[in-house]
Amino acid sequence: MSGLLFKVCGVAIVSLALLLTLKGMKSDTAMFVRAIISVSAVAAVIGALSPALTFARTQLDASGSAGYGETMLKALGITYLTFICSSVCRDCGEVSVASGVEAVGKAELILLSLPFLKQILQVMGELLGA
Amino acid sequence: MRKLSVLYAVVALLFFLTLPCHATDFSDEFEAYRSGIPEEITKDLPQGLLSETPEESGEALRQALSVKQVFSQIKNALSSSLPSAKKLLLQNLALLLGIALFRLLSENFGGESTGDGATFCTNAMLLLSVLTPQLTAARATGEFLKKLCTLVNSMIPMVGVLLASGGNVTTAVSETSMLGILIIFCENFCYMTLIPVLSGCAAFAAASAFSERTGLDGVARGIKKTFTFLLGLMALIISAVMSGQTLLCAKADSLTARTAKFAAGTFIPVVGGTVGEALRTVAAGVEYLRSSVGIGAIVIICIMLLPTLLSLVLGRISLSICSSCASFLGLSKEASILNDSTGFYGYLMAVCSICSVLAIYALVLFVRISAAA
Repeated sequence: MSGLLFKVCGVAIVSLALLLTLKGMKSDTAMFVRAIISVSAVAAVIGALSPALTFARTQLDASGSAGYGETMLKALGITYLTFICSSVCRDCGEVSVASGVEAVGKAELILLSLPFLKQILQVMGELLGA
Repeated sequence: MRKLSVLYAVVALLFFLTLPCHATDFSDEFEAYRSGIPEEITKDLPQGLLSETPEESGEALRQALSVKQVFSQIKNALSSSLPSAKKLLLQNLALLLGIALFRLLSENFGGESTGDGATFCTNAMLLLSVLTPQLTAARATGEFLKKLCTLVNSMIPMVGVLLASGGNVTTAVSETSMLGILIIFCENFCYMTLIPVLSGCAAFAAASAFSERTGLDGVARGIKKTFTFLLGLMALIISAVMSGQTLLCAKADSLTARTAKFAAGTFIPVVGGTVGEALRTVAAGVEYLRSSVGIGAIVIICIMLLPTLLSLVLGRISLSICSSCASFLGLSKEASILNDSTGFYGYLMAVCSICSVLAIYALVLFVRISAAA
């Protein structure tokens, strides 16, 4: 992990230098470079944490909650994607677009929890009818 | 003078013909009692416990109350309750671990809006994983209350006949009416308030889980505490009335029987004292039968109660452990959801325990009443 940390810090400093240089020369290209660097950083984090995520998923599968693990991973993916997209939009000065992306991300998360809400209502209905 | 003595003897003889001192067959009442015992309990009982012969049932009862048999019953109940409690514990611990990891990862990258959405999603998952076993526990408690009421109902004819056969006629009426009141308490108050209270508490817990601002978990706790207090109060009143009525009626029957024995001893020449002794022997036999039937029924109630109570206790312990783990992982909302669920199990335990204790108390009074003669 410490090796990865040094690598990421090194890449971040080099990327910063590159972005500062590109900002002065070609600001359009800087936006794409920024997006690529953000995605790479998040991918590096997910890659570093994959053993922990795999462990959590294995435990959930073993305890009979396989559906929960899958949903959490999807939710994590939605969160990261929303973050990356909204950050890039904010960095480019498009705050309203960023807010729209965040709203869609929030709506996706709520839709993801819809099956659980249906099951909760079903259980409450069975409890009342018991 | 001689004619007067003969007249007194005839009157006393006519008087004793009205006493319930006759050879009674309890087959019908025993059959009704046996039919009230659940089938899954009958096969676990020692051979002869439900026999009409006092010696056979007494021997089976001694066997049932041995240390080995008691621990064997506890072990069976534990082995049937432990897997579901283990599953509940492991499932919730794994879910909490996943939520903690997810929260850690999404907080840095989520932002406020997606953070709220992610919390909503994880709270829904946790609430579902907690509500489903609660439904099973509520159903199991309802089943237990039904079986208890069926058993007590089936015992009423038996109780009446055994008390009346020992000369406790007034006590028989009082005891059978108290058992009827016990059934009404279990069915109407406990069973019919169980589902509304639990549903209401589950709804409040769900509302509290999805909103930071409602704070309805306090209302749910208040409702549970109030109903538990009312249950306890009603149980206290019923047990006080039961004790008072039963003891007073027993004393009244004792006075009647002793007066009759005195009259028999005084006015019936030669065999007057023997009649009293014969009555006492019959009463002792009925008392022995009453003890074996009463204690047998207490054993059956304990065997019925054990699996349900153990599953509720183990479920509660599992959720308490999960709540502590959630607090340890910094998941305060999740800890609050799990803590509220322990109260749910607590209420179910209170209902089962109070109804069983009242039934056992009624049977203890039934066993402890001495024969009138």
